[in-house]
Amino acid sequence: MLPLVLGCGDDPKITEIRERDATTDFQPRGTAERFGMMRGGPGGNPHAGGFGSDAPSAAPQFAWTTPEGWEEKVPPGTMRVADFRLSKNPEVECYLSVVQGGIAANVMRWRKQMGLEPVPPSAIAGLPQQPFLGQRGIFVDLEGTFAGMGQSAPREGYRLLGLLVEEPGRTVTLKMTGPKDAVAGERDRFLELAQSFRAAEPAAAPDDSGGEGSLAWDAPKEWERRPDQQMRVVTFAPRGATGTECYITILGGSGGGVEANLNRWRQQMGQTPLDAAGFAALESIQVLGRDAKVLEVSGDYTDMQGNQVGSASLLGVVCPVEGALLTVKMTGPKDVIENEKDRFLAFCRSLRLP
Amino acid sequence: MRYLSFLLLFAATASATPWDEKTVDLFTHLPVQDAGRVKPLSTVASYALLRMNHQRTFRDAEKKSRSPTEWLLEVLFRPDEARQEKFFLVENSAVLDAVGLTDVVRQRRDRYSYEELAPARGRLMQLAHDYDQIKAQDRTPVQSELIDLGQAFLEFERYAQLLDFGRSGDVVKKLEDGSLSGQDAVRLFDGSVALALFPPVDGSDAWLTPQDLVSLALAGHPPAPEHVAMLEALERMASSGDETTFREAAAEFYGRSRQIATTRGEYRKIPLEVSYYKLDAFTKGLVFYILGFVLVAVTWLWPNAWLKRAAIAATATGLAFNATGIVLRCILLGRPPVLNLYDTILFITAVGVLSSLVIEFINRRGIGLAAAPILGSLGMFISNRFELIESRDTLRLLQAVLDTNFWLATHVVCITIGYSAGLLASAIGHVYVIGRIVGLKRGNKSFYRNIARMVYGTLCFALLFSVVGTILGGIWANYSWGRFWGWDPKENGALLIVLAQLALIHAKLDGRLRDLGVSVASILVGGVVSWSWWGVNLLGVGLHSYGFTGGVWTGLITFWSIEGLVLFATLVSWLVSRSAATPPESGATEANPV
Amino acid sequence: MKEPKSPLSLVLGFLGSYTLAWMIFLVLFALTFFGTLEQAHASLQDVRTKYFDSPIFLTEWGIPLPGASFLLGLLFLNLVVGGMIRMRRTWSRVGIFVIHIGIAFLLLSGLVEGLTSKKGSMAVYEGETSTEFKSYYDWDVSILEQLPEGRERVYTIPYERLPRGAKSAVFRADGLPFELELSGFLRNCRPQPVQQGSDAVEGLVFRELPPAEEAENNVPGITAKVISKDVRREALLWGFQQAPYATTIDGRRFAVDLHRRAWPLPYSVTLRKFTHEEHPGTNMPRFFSSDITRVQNNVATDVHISMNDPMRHGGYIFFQSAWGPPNAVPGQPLYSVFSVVENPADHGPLVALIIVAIGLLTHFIPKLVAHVEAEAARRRA
Repeated sequence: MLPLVLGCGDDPKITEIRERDATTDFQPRGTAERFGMMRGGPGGNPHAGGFGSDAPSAAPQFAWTTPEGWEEKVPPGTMRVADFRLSKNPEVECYLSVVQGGIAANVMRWRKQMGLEPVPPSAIAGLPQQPFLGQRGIFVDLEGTFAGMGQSAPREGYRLLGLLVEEPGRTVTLKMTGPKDAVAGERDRFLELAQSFRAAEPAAAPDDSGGEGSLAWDAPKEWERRPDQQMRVVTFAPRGATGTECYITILGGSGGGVEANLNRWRQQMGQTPLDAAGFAALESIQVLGRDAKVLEVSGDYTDMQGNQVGSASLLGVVCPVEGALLTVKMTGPKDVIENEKDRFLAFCRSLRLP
Repeated sequence: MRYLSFLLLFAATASATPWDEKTVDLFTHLPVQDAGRVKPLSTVASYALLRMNHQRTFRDAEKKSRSPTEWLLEVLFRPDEARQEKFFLVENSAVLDAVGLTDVVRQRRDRYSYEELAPARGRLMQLAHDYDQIKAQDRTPVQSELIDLGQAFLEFERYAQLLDFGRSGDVVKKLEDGSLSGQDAVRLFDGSVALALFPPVDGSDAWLTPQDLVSLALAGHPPAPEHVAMLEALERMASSGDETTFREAAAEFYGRSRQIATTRGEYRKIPLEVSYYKLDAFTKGLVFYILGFVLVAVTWLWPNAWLKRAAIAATATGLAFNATGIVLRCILLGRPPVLNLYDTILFITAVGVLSSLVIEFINRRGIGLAAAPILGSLGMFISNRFELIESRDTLRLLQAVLDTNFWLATHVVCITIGYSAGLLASAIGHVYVIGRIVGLKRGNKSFYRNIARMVYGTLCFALLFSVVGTILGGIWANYSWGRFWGWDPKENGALLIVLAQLALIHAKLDGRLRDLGVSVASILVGGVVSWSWWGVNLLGVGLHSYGFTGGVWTGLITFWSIEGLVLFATLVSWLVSRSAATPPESGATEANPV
Repeated sequence: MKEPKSPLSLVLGFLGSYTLAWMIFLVLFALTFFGTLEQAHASLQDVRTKYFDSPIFLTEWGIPLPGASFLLGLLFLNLVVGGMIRMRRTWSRVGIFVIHIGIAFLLLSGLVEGLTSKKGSMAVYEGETSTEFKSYYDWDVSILEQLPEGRERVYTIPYERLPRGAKSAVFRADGLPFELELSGFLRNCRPQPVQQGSDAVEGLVFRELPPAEEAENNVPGITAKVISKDVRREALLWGFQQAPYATTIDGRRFAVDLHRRAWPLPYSVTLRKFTHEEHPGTNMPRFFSSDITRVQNNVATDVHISMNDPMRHGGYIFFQSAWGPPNAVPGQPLYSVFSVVENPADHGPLVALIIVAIGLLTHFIPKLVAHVEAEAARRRA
């Protein structure tokens, strides 16, 4: 109020300046990571400024393409992560939720909502599968009298389409309900939507405090493991070396793509981006059963803190895995890197998902 | 009283029902947990029947009146017979037309059996669901009734299938020896959820339904021996056609349930609650208030000291019933008198009647005596209607935020007394303006002078409680949630009353309002009170809005329309009287004080 | 013939008049009434801001009304001038006089509260510790610079100065090697990945959401540009971000953060245990409470905080207000939320109530007694 009256609204001067003991994390991070779109499940994070109430605290962990003729809704509460309605018939609803309890329990719950008898767990193993979240989802197709949550009265002649995938500690479900005929017409678009869902968090994401998570490797015996760091799966360095390190990261989704990552590294080394021919000429090795490009580049290295390191080299491998992008990168003085190259490539080849 | 009702019961049921009085009495007192509270089965049954039949009793095929407990016994243990009985009240046959049952319609308002309605079940559920999407205040009466009927239908089904497992042959035995397959268990007990009949023996809080017992058993927690015995007793009752077997099983079930509940300290108030409903204090209060009003009306035509005493006695008896009911409710919940909207009606009525009688005692002008039975009858009538509209147990538990007896006893009671006094002032104001319109005691200036003083005095009394109550509410909020005034609708409602009364009092001091003006303003303040009491609850926002009820809108709008008419008539009669009287000194009316 | 009055006494006369009093009450009545109705569509906080803070404003239905703060100020003057200074002081009016003192006191404590109180909230997980509480509605942007020896410098741009709507604003400060341009403020939004689009930062844009039903649940977002002669970097700042945007300029490390305004406490609060219980068989909360340890000057004190039973200490009051996460499954760690209030006028309303109640009783009881006696005398006559 007061500054406006005094005409200070346009004064660009910041007047409130003080010093205090440091509490801030000055580590540079990608926007998606800062927004918690890489980690964490549903539920509020009170430290992030929310009160954990009904605010949209469940940061979207998923990206998707809304099918034509469908409308996206703001999910009510935190149970639903993404919520859709059929434009021409809002009675048909579809939503993605992250729940507990495994696939069998959720299928049973759905059967019950549709007024159907329970089936033995063995029957669930026989259910068809459809692509969902980059995995094979269990596909459920039920008809009956729907009495789901929040319904005051059961509705007859209903159909439920559902997809479920189980991930460590949680089950992700996509469910569509509505009158039989209306749902039948939307089956393809439902599957299309399911296929378009991608996790910002890779299915095989290691939890960053534990280090390796589900990824395994054989590290050269000349190397030693260094303390874990944010965003890195694991960090190694030649024994006793300073200024040289090798680490693995897993980026969510496409992670920006193979080319973009390789070019980013080239730029960090003060080199120009590669064209298509340049990429094609890069050496390939087998990582996690896939072809992965190997980049070797030398120059003046600018690290993420903006420090200049002269006469440095970078070795990098980028490998797309299901729903994520794995990178292995080694940087250091040029001569050291030349020595370590074979060990680096062996390390990359040794990577495996148990 | 109770003995008498047994006799009546016996007379009514001797031949018609299989339920002997002893069994009915057992089930009447059977403790169950419902909406978080342990209460007699008769309470649950009476509200269920109220939802379906819109009254607490029903007439069977032989036109015999049956109690809610007898009705529920019939539904639980003889569902096939119950499906033939007519206790689904349809107020408007348009509901039946809407679901395609035109051919069963007998008259516009009538009762139907489950079997008669069952063919339209699908359509009923579909429409009930569709109309449920419409906001409550936007629904037509037929839509609302259809939703209620759909819900009543489902509720009936839940009770009717509660004991399905007991009619399927030795299920409990199989459950006990482990020969019941998981699938069969789930199938047989899937619908057995209507009543939490089993008091837990492990010290936990939540009572269990038959389905809960079976789910726990499937999860590896076999039922306690007491629960198995109770389950078996239920099975015997459900499957046996033999009266003696039924009675013995009923006695066993009740005995075990009562024993566990007693150990848990949850049976203590059950008999009192049964007596509370048997007493039916508010209906009796209504009867005596009406009697009081009739007697008062007679004294207007034939003034007589004895008649007047009889009127006072009748009104006081009405008040005694009214107050007894309130006291019983306090004892049952162990709480101060006003917890929810229903309580406010009872309490406001009692305070209004008491205040009127005190006024009468002080000034003996007959105004208080007239107001008391009118307010009493209106209040008891509204409480009755409201209970029907809500159709759910009025003895309810409190949200954590409101759980403090001190503030409930101070703030809420003060505010409600303020409401009551504000409405009483309005009622006396009505005597003034209607008296003027119809020419009552024409020319008797001191009569009107005194009424206006009563209005003003009552308003000051109301202001005292409204101001103290409102500030107390702020202090409660301040000391419990850290804010004195949150601008919450209910808080604003209380503030509106205070502001209206303050405006009135200062305008009178300013010389803008005279006797007629004060009376008219008191009626307006009465409108504000009704808004704060009922209207803000209809906004559907706010921390305190303890009840939303569609039917309340209708009542409120009717009330305001009548008040509007009264005020309009007052305006007309005032204009007429002003133009009739030649203005002798025009200077005196400069500020147009009325 | 009356003597002509001086303009001052005319003004004072009006200020202290009954006429002004009932007019204020009527306008306050209208204000409260419309303010209540408007809450059916807008959040309480928004309505409160509109109805209290503006000198004059339009209701939803286009009716112009003066703001409540202004009216209450006027009421205070009216009360002091008319009800206290100019009132005839007779014994029969002593009660009225006292009532007016009480109401004036209530208004004053309201003013003190409005000007000085801080209201916010603290959310803390079991086993964790907090030393600050956060505003419900105000979100500041801070530039932080890492200093040697574990210190940092904080440049704060308060919520009130953030550019709204389509506007942008540039901020600078002595000692900062860059300017910060803020734009694209959204009151409630969430980030969303996009495939393409010029506004996207690292593949993300903010998607605007409708205002939350409770204003404290809004999560704002803003776009920040760090501009110096060499660099021009863009970052999205979001209310729920888990880490600030960090960057290095001229070899100095900076971070830019959008966060709820936080107020430090003179002590730390550790949540030992959170307990909640529901009415059996229902979802209705029966009670919830927190056991905390408060540490001040190395002295630890265990305190139990529950609904209707707050902790008062060191000028701050802690109220149990909520818990989470919503829909927590059994075994999941819980956090407890306290409303924290610093209000020097905390006991003002109680004092005012006592004064008002004394006044009301002093005034009305003698009146009632006199009335009863007069009626009794009339009947005897």
